[in-house]
Amino acid sequence: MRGRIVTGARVTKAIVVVVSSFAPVLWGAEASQKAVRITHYVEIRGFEFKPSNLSVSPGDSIVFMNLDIVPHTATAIDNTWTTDTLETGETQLITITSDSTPVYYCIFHPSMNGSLDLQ
Amino acid sequence: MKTLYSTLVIGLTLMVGCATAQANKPSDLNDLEIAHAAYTADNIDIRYAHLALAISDNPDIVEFAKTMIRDHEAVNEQALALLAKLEVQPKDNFLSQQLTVGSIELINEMSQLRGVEFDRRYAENELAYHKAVNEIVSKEFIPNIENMDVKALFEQALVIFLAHEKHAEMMVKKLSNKSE
Ligand SMILES: [Cu+2]
Repeated sequence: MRGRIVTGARVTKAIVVVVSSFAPVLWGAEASQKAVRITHYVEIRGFEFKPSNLSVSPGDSIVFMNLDIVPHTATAIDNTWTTDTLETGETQLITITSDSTPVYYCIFHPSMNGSLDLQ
Repeated sequence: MKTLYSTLVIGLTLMVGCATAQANKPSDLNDLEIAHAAYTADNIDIRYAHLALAISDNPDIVEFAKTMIRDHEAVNEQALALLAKLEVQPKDNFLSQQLTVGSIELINEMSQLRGVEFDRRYAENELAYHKAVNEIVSKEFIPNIENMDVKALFEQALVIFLAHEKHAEMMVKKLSNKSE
């Protein structure tokens, strides 16, 4: 019985990760007012942030992954938040707050832009 | 001294020759010659960037120059790794020599400039240079490259150089709005 509960919890967690790029998912009824903290993934590939626009809620995190052969960053347009220099294959997690600047770019390549829809 | 002189003469002869002789078109180069020309073009842009870092104190120029060094070195590293894997050597050719001769002239010219005059010349050249190289890479090199791995690397590199072209365009615009 206990084993099944644990399994269930794991499955729930896995589902949250899988659906993380979609609309916020709610934990059970007792948390119905509060969106789950979601981890979103943004790939940097071919000098583009993919997806270039993302719906996020405060408390969510974004993992930026650089899949290009040159380094990039993801940096708020007003420099209030940034990843470090992401070398090929590197990832970094950024946590979003209610006052996070929603427009970002790459410091090295200012023609690269991305945006967040803060829910 | 004599060697340098003859090298220049050969380079210039090839430059002049390329306008008429069929064998001296970029589209006639084989994969190893294309690799050499691209490697040369990369290194030239790295040299321009080092010159910019030595002369300019405009933060946009400095950031751009650092990006050129970082990115072109990354592309060259990939190119060398691929050539090593294929166990081949890049082959010198008329285009590599033409590019080198042109770059020596330009470095001499830009070395004389200071301040916003240098910044504008550097930015304008970066835009023109990336435009010219991208034109050759997309229209002459990529359609003619036979090895699939080499072709894939050039396609990746083209995306990078197109972003540099856009970046240079932004820089030129910003500098033209700036008063002397
Ligand atoms: Cu970038």
